[in-house]
Amino acid sequence: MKSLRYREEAELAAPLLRYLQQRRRVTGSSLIAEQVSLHGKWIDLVTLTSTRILTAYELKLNHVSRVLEQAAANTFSVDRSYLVTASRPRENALEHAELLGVGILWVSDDKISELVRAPRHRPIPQVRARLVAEIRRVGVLVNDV
Amino acid sequence: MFEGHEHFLSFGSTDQETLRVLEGCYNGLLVPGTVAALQREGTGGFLLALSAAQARTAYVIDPRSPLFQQPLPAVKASFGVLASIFRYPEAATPGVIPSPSDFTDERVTAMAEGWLAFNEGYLSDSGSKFEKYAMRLNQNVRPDDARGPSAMLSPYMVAVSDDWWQVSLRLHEATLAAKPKLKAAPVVAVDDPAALATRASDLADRDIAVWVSGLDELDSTADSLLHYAQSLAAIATSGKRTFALYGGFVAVTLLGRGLDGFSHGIGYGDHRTWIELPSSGAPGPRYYIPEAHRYASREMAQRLFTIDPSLVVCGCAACGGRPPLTIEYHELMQHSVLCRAAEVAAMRTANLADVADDLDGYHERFADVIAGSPVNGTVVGKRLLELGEHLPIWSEVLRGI
Repeated sequence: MKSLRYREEAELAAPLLRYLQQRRRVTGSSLIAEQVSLHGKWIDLVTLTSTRILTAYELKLNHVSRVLEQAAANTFSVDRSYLVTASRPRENALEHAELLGVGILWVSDDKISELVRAPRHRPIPQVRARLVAEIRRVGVLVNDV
Repeated sequence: MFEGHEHFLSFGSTDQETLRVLEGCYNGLLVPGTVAALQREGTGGFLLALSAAQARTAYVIDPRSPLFQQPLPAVKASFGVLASIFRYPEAATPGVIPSPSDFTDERVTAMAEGWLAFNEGYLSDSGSKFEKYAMRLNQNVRPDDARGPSAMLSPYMVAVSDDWWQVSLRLHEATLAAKPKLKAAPVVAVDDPAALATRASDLADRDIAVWVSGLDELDSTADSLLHYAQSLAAIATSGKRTFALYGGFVAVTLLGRGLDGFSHGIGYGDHRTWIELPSSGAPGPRYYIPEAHRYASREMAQRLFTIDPSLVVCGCAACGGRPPLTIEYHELMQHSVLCRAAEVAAMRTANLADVADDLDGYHERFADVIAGSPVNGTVVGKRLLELGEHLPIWSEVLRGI
């Protein structure tokens, strides 16, 4: 099978959502929002489950280290923080992600492998609450996507 | 003229709340000519109300005339209004490459007279919204107590060549020839700190404003900063007093050691670069790290706080020692001004060798803490270490002054 080439980050969102649904990381009643603003920066994708698990996903085709910093910053605001990439990161990037508490999902041929599982964080309550309010304002139900 | 002008803040309309709340924590405001020209009623009402309030806050308008020394990629409304004030409306034409020869004697005289009229008429022409801004001050403020600019800066150009420096000198001479009621100071704007003293020696004035284009204290070599300090010291030795249009912590350390006053932005803006480029707006709100004497993104400051709160914590009234990510925008801005005001106060009696020791001590602790943290070696660890890279350079400069 010919390998799928992704041209822009947004194309990673569809396989990501399928994966999250298959793995029951989100359900139809979860909220999802793209490009959520927080502290003057944008988080590519945020989900909030009915059990109140708030997860951030930063999407990046390649050059993982550049977005690892942002994904690490998200750990102050969400319960889990992931970096989703179309190019397999090097071993040291995986080690760094583990140290920074960031999970890594690798998208290849529309399939996703979880290379690093994101740990559950203890975000700053006020900051998390602000983000929850924002996703409730701009998010849509996964069922409606 | 620059007495009582030790600590100025660069005015921005989004900073009004900070400026009101912290009235008395700074001496005055440096208002960009573009802002003063375009938002005459709003900015004017605010400045006049503040000047009439308890702290009698001074203000000075920066002509920002080097705008008309460069080809303009696009013309904002404020450029057009400012050009009209200079009685040179065609200056606000995009794409034109200005030359010193464009500034004939007639044009220079018209610019100087136009600028003088704007400054001297500011009090009477800009007060229509005085009441609105006076009410927000929550004080008994009377229109009769409002004051005009505390001083006037003559129009100027950046002395990137002898010819442009001559234009600058002629603009100042024309301003003086127009017999201003306000005290007028020349601006020595250069792109090389070592050239500052040489240019200043052409002026007979006692008070001069200075600007070294692109002198980013965080990104400068020790040599550049030392040249800057030495130039200011040489100017002071010649009996002149200087006010820097932009400056950060290094400028603070030079107060009383060649520099008599300085201005800085709120939340950012410790330096400025000519040529004016199309900007995408101000950076997002950042946290001022008191002991590093610099801004960092809130996320980076939060990371430091998580690793070791003592690296970033501050006890000012605005932030109250809270984690950086939980501090709201206006509190962050107030925190930055209070930190800078504390630096200014501390530096009046500080010994520079002790300050250099403090910088080195903090840098050593900073590097050790990060080296022992879980993020060491990661991209985040590298970014954190970069936040301290200026410290050994600054300590070298302070020991060399």
